[in-house]
Amino acid sequence: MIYKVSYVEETGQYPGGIKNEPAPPRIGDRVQIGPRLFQVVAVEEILPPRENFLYLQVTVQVIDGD
Amino acid sequence: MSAVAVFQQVELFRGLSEAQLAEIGQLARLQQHARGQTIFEQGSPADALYIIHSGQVEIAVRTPGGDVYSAVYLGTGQVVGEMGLIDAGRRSAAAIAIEEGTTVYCIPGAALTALCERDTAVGYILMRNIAQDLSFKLRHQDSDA
Repeated sequence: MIYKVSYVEETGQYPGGIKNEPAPPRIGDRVQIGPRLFQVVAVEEILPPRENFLYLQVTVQVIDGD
Repeated sequence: MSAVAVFQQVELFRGLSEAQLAEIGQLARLQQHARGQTIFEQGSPADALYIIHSGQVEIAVRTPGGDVYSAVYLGTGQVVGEMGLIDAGRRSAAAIAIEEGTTVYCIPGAALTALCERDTAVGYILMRNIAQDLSFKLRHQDSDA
Protein backbone atom coordinates (compact mmCIF):
# COMPACT_ATOMS: atom_id res chain seq x y z
CA MET A 1 0.00 0.00 0.00
CA ILE A 2 1.15 3.53 -0.77
CA TYR A 3 -0.19 6.28 1.46
CA LYS A 4 -0.66 9.59 -0.31
CA VAL A 5 -0.70 12.08 2.52
CA SER A 6 -1.90 15.67 2.68
CA TYR A 7 -0.18 17.24 5.68
CA VAL A 8 -2.15 20.22 6.95
CA GLU A 9 -0.91 22.52 9.71
CA GLU A 10 -3.65 23.02 12.28
CA THR A 11 -3.63 26.84 12.42
CA GLY A 12 -3.10 27.46 8.73
CA GLN A 13 -0.08 29.65 9.53
CA TYR A 14 2.40 27.32 7.83
CA PRO A 15 2.14 25.76 4.38
CA GLY A 16 1.53 22.06 4.47
CA GLY A 17 2.79 19.37 2.21
CA ILE A 18 1.89 16.35 0.13
CA LYS A 19 4.01 13.23 -0.13
CA ASN A 20 3.81 9.48 -0.45
CA GLU A 21 4.54 7.45 2.65
CA PRO A 22 5.28 3.73 2.89
CA ALA A 23 3.29 3.47 6.13
CA PRO A 24 0.44 5.52 7.59
CA PRO A 25 1.54 8.35 9.90
CA ARG A 26 0.44 7.93 13.50
CA ILE A 27 -0.46 10.45 16.16
CA GLY A 28 2.73 11.64 17.83
CA ASP A 29 4.97 10.97 14.82
CA ARG A 30 7.31 13.78 13.81
CA VAL A 31 7.46 14.91 10.22
CA GLN A 32 9.59 17.42 8.34
CA ILE A 33 7.58 19.63 5.99
CA GLY A 34 9.74 22.16 4.24
CA PRO A 35 12.12 23.75 6.73
CA ARG A 36 10.03 22.96 9.80
CA LEU A 37 9.40 20.03 12.07
CA PHE A 38 5.84 19.09 12.98
CA GLN A 39 4.05 16.54 15.13
CA VAL A 40 1.06 14.54 13.92
CA VAL A 41 -2.12 15.27 15.91
CA ALA A 42 -4.83 13.65 13.74
CA VAL A 43 -5.10 11.21 10.86
CA GLU A 44 -8.15 10.85 8.62
CA GLU A 45 -8.86 8.84 5.49
CA ILE A 46 -10.31 11.35 3.03
CA LEU A 47 -10.99 9.35 -0.14
CA PRO A 48 -11.81 5.74 -0.97
CA PRO A 49 -8.69 3.72 -1.81
CA ARG A 50 -7.80 3.27 -5.47
CA GLU A 51 -5.86 0.11 -6.31
CA ASN A 52 -2.78 0.25 -4.06
CA PHE A 53 -3.18 3.92 -3.06
CA LEU A 54 -4.79 5.12 0.15
CA TYR A 55 -5.50 8.81 0.75
CA LEU A 56 -4.98 10.47 4.11
CA GLN A 57 -5.24 13.92 5.57
CA VAL A 58 -2.90 14.36 8.47
CA THR A 59 -3.19 17.35 10.78
CA VAL A 60 0.09 18.51 12.22
CA GLN A 61 1.25 20.96 14.86
CA VAL A 62 4.50 22.86 14.56
CA ILE A 63 7.08 21.95 17.20
CA ASP A 64 9.92 24.22 16.16
CA GLY A 65 8.00 27.44 15.65
CA ASP A 66 9.51 30.90 15.88
CA MET B 1 16.03 1.47 -8.84
CA SER B 2 14.74 1.64 -12.42
CA ALA B 3 12.39 4.35 -13.65
CA VAL B 4 9.67 1.72 -14.04
CA ALA B 5 10.05 0.64 -10.40
CA VAL B 6 9.88 4.28 -9.30
CA PHE B 7 6.88 5.03 -11.52
CA GLN B 8 4.98 2.08 -10.04
CA GLN B 9 4.96 4.04 -6.77
CA VAL B 10 3.62 7.21 -8.39
CA GLU B 11 -0.11 7.86 -8.54
CA LEU B 12 0.17 9.68 -11.86
CA PHE B 13 0.99 6.34 -13.47
CA ARG B 14 -1.54 4.21 -11.57
CA GLY B 15 -3.18 1.73 -13.92
CA LEU B 16 -0.43 1.65 -16.55
CA SER B 17 1.28 -1.62 -17.46
CA GLU B 18 5.02 -2.23 -17.09
CA ALA B 19 5.42 -1.90 -20.86
CA GLN B 20 3.60 1.44 -20.84
CA LEU B 21 5.70 2.64 -17.90
CA ALA B 22 8.84 1.58 -19.73
CA GLU B 23 7.79 3.66 -22.71
CA ILE B 24 7.32 6.69 -20.47
CA GLY B 25 10.62 5.86 -18.79
CA GLN B 26 12.31 6.25 -22.17
CA LEU B 27 11.15 9.87 -22.19
CA ALA B 28 12.21 10.64 -18.64
CA ARG B 29 15.54 12.09 -17.53
CA LEU B 30 16.70 11.94 -13.94
CA GLN B 31 17.89 15.30 -12.59
CA GLN B 32 19.62 16.04 -9.31
CA HIS B 33 19.25 19.43 -7.68
CA ALA B 34 21.19 21.15 -4.95
CA ARG B 35 19.37 22.67 -2.00
CA GLY B 36 17.93 26.01 -3.08
CA GLN B 37 18.23 25.28 -6.79
CA THR B 38 15.30 26.36 -8.91
CA ILE B 39 13.78 23.58 -11.00
CA PHE B 40 11.63 26.02 -12.94
CA GLU B 41 10.76 29.68 -12.62
CA GLN B 42 7.30 31.20 -12.30
CA GLY B 43 6.29 32.59 -15.68
CA SER B 44 8.56 30.29 -17.67
CA PRO B 45 7.19 28.09 -20.48
CA ALA B 46 5.64 24.89 -19.12
CA ASP B 47 7.49 22.43 -21.32
CA ALA B 48 7.88 19.47 -18.96
CA LEU B 49 6.45 17.81 -15.92
CA TYR B 50 8.46 16.46 -13.02
CA ILE B 51 8.10 13.48 -10.73
CA ILE B 52 9.79 13.83 -7.35
CA HIS B 53 11.92 10.76 -6.72
CA SER B 54 13.51 11.96 -3.48
CA GLY B 55 13.80 15.11 -1.43
CA GLN B 56 11.35 17.97 -1.18
CA VAL B 57 10.26 20.69 -3.56
CA GLU B 58 8.82 24.04 -2.52
CA ILE B 59 6.12 25.52 -4.71
CA ALA B 60 6.61 29.27 -4.34
CA VAL B 61 4.31 31.94 -5.69
CA ARG B 62 5.28 35.55 -6.35
CA THR B 63 2.28 37.88 -6.05
CA PRO B 64 1.72 40.80 -8.44
CA GLY B 65 2.93 43.01 -5.57
CA GLY B 66 6.23 41.17 -5.45
CA ASP B 67 5.74 39.19 -2.24
CA VAL B 68 6.70 35.53 -2.34
CA TYR B 69 4.97 32.83 -0.33
CA SER B 70 5.25 29.06 -0.08
CA ALA B 71 2.08 27.43 -1.39
CA VAL B 72 2.96 23.83 -0.57
CA TYR B 73 5.87 21.47 -0.09
CA LEU B 74 5.83 18.38 -2.27
CA GLY B 75 7.72 15.19 -1.53
CA THR B 76 8.35 11.72 -2.86
CA GLY B 77 5.99 10.48 -5.54
CA GLN B 78 4.39 13.82 -6.29
CA VAL B 79 4.03 15.38 -9.72
CA VAL B 80 5.05 18.98 -10.35
CA GLY B 81 4.25 21.12 -13.37
CA GLU B 82 1.38 19.04 -14.71
CA MET B 83 -0.84 22.07 -15.31
CA GLY B 84 1.30 23.01 -18.29
CA LEU B 85 0.58 19.67 -19.88
CA ILE B 86 -3.12 20.47 -19.70
CA ASP B 87 -3.31 24.14 -20.60
CA ALA B 88 0.09 24.92 -22.18
CA GLY B 89 0.20 28.09 -20.11
CA ARG B 90 3.23 29.53 -18.38
CA ARG B 91 4.31 28.36 -14.93
CA SER B 92 1.99 29.70 -12.23
CA ALA B 93 4.62 29.20 -9.55
CA ALA B 94 8.29 28.40 -9.11
CA ALA B 95 9.54 24.98 -8.03
CA ILE B 96 12.60 24.98 -5.79
CA ALA B 97 14.52 22.02 -4.39
CA ILE B 98 14.80 22.47 -0.65
CA GLU B 99 16.80 19.37 0.23
CA GLU B 100 20.33 18.73 -0.95
CA GLY B 101 20.35 16.10 -3.68
CA THR B 102 16.65 16.32 -4.47
CA THR B 103 16.08 14.10 -7.50
CA VAL B 104 13.29 14.46 -10.02
CA TYR B 105 12.35 12.76 -13.25
CA CYS B 106 11.83 15.34 -15.98
CA ILE B 107 9.42 14.29 -18.73
CA PRO B 108 9.14 16.61 -21.75
CA GLY B 109 5.54 17.68 -22.17
CA ALA B 110 5.51 17.52 -25.97
CA ALA B 111 6.79 13.95 -26.00
CA LEU B 112 4.31 12.86 -23.34
CA THR B 113 1.44 14.55 -25.17
CA ALA B 114 2.49 12.82 -28.38
CA LEU B 115 2.49 9.47 -26.57
CA CYS B 116 -1.01 10.18 -25.18
CA GLU B 117 -2.31 10.99 -28.66
CA ARG B 118 -0.63 7.94 -30.21
CA ASP B 119 -1.85 5.58 -27.47
CA THR B 120 -5.17 6.91 -26.26
CA ALA B 121 -5.48 4.21 -23.58
CA VAL B 122 -2.35 5.64 -21.99
CA GLY B 123 -3.67 9.13 -22.64
CA TYR B 124 -6.97 8.41 -20.88
CA ILE B 125 -5.26 6.95 -17.81
CA LEU B 126 -2.76 9.80 -17.54
CA MET B 127 -5.40 12.49 -17.94
CA ARG B 128 -7.68 10.77 -15.39
CA ASN B 129 -4.80 10.52 -12.95
CA ILE B 130 -3.77 14.14 -13.50
CA ALA B 131 -7.36 15.20 -12.83
CA GLN B 132 -7.43 13.16 -9.63
CA ASP B 133 -4.07 14.57 -8.55
CA LEU B 134 -5.25 18.14 -9.17
CA SER B 135 -8.41 17.35 -7.20
CA PHE B 136 -6.28 16.05 -4.31
CA LYS B 137 -4.18 19.21 -4.39
CA LEU B 138 -7.32 21.37 -4.33
CA ARG B 139 -8.61 19.43 -1.32
CA HIS B 140 -5.24 19.97 0.35
CA GLN B 141 -5.30 23.67 -0.45
CA ASP B 142 -8.86 24.05 0.89
CA SER B 143 -7.90 22.32 4.14
CA ASP B 144 -4.65 24.26 4.40
CA ALA B 145 -6.22 27.71 4.06
